[in-house]
Amino acid sequence: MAALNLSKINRTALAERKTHKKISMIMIIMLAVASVLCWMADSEGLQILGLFLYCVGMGVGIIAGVSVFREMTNSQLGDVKLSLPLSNAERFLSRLLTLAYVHVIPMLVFGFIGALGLFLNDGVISDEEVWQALTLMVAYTFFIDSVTVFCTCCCGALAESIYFSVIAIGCLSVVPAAICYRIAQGFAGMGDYPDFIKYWTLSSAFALNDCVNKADYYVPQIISILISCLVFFAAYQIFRRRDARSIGDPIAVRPFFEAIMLIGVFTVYSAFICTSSFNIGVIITAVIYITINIIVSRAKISFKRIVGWLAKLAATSLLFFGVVVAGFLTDGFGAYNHLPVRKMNNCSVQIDSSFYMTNDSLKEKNGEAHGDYTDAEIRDMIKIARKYGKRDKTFDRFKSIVFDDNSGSYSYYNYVEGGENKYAYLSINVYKDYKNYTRNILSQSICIERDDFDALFNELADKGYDSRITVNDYSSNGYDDYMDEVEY
Amino acid sequence: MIEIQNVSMVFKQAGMSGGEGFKALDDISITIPEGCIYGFLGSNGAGKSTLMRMLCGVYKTELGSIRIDGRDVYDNAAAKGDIFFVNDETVQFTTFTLDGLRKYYRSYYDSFSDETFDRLVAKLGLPTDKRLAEFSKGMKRQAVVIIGLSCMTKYIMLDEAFDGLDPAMRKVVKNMIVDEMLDRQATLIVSSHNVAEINELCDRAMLIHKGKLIFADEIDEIQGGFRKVQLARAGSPVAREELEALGLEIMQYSALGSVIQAVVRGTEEDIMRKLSSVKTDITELIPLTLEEIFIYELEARGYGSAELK
Repeated sequence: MAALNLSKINRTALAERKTHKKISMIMIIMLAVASVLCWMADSEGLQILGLFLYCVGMGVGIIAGVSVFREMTNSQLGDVKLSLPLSNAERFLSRLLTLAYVHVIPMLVFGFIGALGLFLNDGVISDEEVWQALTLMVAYTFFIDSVTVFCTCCCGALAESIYFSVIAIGCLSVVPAAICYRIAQGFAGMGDYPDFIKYWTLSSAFALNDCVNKADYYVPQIISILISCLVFFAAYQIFRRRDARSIGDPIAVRPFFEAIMLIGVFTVYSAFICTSSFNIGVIITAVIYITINIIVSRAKISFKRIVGWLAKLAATSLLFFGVVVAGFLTDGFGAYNHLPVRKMNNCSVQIDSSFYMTNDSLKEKNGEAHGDYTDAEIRDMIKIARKYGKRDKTFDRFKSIVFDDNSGSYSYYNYVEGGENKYAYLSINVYKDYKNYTRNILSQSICIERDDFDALFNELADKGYDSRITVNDYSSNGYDDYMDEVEY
Repeated sequence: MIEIQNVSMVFKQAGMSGGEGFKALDDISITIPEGCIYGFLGSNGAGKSTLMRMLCGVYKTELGSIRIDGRDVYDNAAAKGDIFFVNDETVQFTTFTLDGLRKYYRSYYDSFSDETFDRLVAKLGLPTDKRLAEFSKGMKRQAVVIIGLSCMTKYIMLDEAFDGLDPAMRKVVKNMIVDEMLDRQATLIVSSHNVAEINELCDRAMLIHKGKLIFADEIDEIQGGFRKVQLARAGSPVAREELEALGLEIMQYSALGSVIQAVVRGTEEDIMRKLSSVKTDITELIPLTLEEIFIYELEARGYGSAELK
């Protein structure tokens, strides 16, 4: 790469910024209003409105990104801008700098002013959360801008660059978390948000909500910004390879289109799996899939092509079900036996289960093991408990998981045919109490045979853990008392 | 100097539609010397604009080579700094004022001359504070040409640059361009369908058709290479086969009674020498205009023959 002329890059970026005066002005006015609203100490409603305007400001990144890189989708602008004396690297950096002037810098400047307002006054969020929210906003801004620039570099038409950016931002935010939550962790009986989602995408806020230490919060944000920078770099690799020939083609980079369609299908299926509406999900997916293909193909549609699209959708669907089956057969890709990486010293562990012996008498049998243990002890207890878990791999069970309404309870993923007469559910929880806050380290629900119930808790007791079995006898009080107890 | 060697360009069909590619240029080789005014002639879709876009680095040259002063132009900022390209549209500039355009291009071209800009604006009397959207098509063209000349580049490429100008303004703009280019020994490349315009403006030209080069030379040499021959012979007119037997390359032939008219490729001396063995009552050789050469060359290749007759 030839030496970059940085002063020229900056000069041309400023010149380009003037061609996006309208977006620039809208951003500045909107964010200025948002920052002023955040200084309104006596009105939480206005502060919330201010925060909402910041969210809109982040979303404007899609329009700003597409607009700044318009030469990728407009042949007239492509003719002009590709003939101007800048190398491809300089041109890309110039456009990124323009995007920074139009979108990122206003977000940073007005975001900081607004955060200061919330910090100095009693606002809708606490002082610590103010700075967390500011870093989250920066990370989100980088995420939206980087994905938009990447999509624009892969598209040759304005419409595609906009709606594919929206689809990509949405799907990237949803699909990894959904796949992991619904399939990997679901089949392992776990109910937490996967830890990795805090490192990128719009879903990171959900995982970051659980963070306690400052480092837990800010480090993922820095990593998120670095990942966005990598996406910018990937966009540059496409940008520098594209000349004006692909301008006007809806999709300039075919693998990009296929990837977006794949994660789009996975996203919709993930949203509908484990609900009784999965069949509707399949129909919705097919309609969206064909519609996008028709739009992208413009007027060039034939029966043969529609059949081809349906075949591709079928193959994508099979791939999705392949992933689901693999998750089912491997107990969530091995997540069932996964233990937390972090040390669990000074954590509390709670392993408990109960069932009702309704066939012979109105009795409830409880098994419980809990207390504060060392990391090694907790790992040992979890391993013992998991050893007794039952995970049937029958087709009926698979069908029941995928097509029945199991979305509300992850424990159903461990459901074993036979009903409650033979099995009990065992919950394993590891957590740590911080000042005014409890951090969940591990939460898992597994199915055990009732015959193994006593053996499990006896083994825990034999190993010296505070474990006991109790039996509550409701027979003497009659059925009504029993029902009251059950409801309680 | 611009050296174009064995350049071909294949447009792959749009990514999602599949199908065969389209060959826009097929093995083109020409040399454009410094300081000349070079005309690109060709039918619609011949490949003129494609070649021009390759010359200024808008398209990447993948087959063959294009070198400007010994440098590849694609992804080469220094080489592009010597080129200004005006494409066949002005819609991309409509949000600018002329003064805004000056600032925009000044940021890209280190060689931009405010003095030239002010002088040319004064010459054409264009407002600098009005948006180009409010300009007529001709005024937009003038504005872009002013910007192009003010960038003080060694090469200016104008794709259908005179479209939309009325005849009087066309002459003013042409004179303005020629004066500026001659003053600084710059090279101008113009593409146009208007053959008379190329004939009037350029000292060299090339003709391409369906991506293939038909000829490229000085305009005088091109015109000297064709003659319209009129032969009259009482009794039996001179047949086409008779002329071809003499070794003449006939591009077009027509007969009316005892008089025949043929368009023949070759110099006047060569044609006269070959015709010396044929006895005729009248033999007359008439030079062709560039426009006639354009029409006969394309007609000989089956282009628009029905419409041109």
